[in-house]
Amino acid sequence: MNRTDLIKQGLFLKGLPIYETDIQHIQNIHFTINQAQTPLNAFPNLNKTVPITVVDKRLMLWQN
Amino acid sequence: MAELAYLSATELAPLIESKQLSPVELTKHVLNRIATVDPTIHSYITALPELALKQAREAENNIMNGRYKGPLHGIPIGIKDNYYTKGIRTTAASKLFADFIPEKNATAVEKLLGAGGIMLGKLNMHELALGSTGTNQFYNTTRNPWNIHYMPGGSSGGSSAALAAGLATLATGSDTFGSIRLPAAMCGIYGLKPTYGLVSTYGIFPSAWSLDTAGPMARTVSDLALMLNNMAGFDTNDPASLRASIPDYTEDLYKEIRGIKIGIPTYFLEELDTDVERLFKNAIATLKSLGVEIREIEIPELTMSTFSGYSIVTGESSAFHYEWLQTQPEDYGMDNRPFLLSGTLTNTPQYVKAQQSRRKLVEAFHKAFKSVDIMLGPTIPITTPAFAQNWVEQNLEVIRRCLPFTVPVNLSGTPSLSVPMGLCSNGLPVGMQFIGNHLSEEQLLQVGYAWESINPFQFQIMN
Repeated sequence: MNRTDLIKQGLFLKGLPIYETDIQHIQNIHFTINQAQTPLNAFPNLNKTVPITVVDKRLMLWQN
Repeated sequence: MAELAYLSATELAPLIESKQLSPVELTKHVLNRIATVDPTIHSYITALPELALKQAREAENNIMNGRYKGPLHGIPIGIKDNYYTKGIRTTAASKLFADFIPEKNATAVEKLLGAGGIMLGKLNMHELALGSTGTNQFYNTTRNPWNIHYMPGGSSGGSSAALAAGLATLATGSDTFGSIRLPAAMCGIYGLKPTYGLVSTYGIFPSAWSLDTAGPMARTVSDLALMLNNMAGFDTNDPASLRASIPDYTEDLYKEIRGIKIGIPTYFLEELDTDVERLFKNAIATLKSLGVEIREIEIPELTMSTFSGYSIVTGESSAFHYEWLQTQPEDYGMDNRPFLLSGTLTNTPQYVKAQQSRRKLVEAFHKAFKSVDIMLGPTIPITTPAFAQNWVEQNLEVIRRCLPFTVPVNLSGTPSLSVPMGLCSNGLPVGMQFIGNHLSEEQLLQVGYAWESINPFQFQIMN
């Protein structure tokens, strides 16, 4: 999702503002993230890993 | 008399306890420095001279009447402006919160003031704790006291600059992807990012909930230990708060570190600026002379940190700011708005993948800590940059270079202590970080103290 038109469309659909000056910076950030995703290929079993989540311990306390 | 402003809390406390130094005299001295020096440095958003003097008089009265509370009693402290302070404007350096006056103190503030600390004011920071340079288009940009044309780092740039300029004895910070350690490195002070959940984040503006950590910043390691003694502890108000026993972090600071095993992940040796590489090699040699065993280690999972860090930081922070982004987009800095907007385009699978990578990293750290006691690396790979005209691009670029070095411990929830390791060729400080296993702050501080003892950092007194 790094094409200018797709970024603008994505923001528009979410009711978010579109500033022309922001777009290149959003593209740069997405480019960095996309590049940084490459090393994940070295971990083929990643999908077997349970994700860390934002856990509120009180949820578990209430269950007990 | 500038030196009084540079004395550590550990040095000041016995003088105050023995009534050789009045907290009022000390506070007036630091406030005078703030009035003189801070118009250049801009380390404070809101200085609180009247309140500080009132608290100092109370402290003096209590001490004179035999009610000494302990080593923080009468010590001037700066509070980062994302910590709620009851009845005092708390902006997080954001236009959005320019008029926000909390009805309560953050837990950490409550504890520090309860221990007798004197609140000097609210410290400047990178807007919303989401940047690394200290530039701010709504409040003043904080300057690095070592050279005002250079950045102090961020987001706790006001804290690090105030300490380096002798405008506070102690300061609070917060660290989501390096915000305590990066400015500590750039300003030549000490900063501890504790274990996730050790210090309550209740009453601190969220940046990214699953990474946010509050911690101490100071000019000496023993002062960090003093602060941590008074900041750590379980808090029912913070869902992430740990029920951990809290030792006296000052007690075993002087313990010998001979025989400790330090691992340097090779990940931290890549893409270093020449000065950083040179100083880091020197530091390794110095540590070896202390009898520390040092070897390189491989942690391939660290390569996932950048993806995971960016995805979680931008995703969680944009969730918190979503409605304000829709309704008040002009109230965001020109660097933070695209940063946050990029997070709104993060999809859920990407966020979950980041949290899967994160668990892999936690497991890898646990495995590594079976063979080494501490890990070590430069705090950041770059030397402190001078302010650039294109500050928006510069902030995003500093994050791009530094986040891979700072965010791994936020992802793993482990503690990290940034210490100064020397001055680079342009005369600005450079830092390195000792990384410990969960709840190993005691040992981290011991190693930091040993390092400081053989490498005492001399501040240039700013007048």
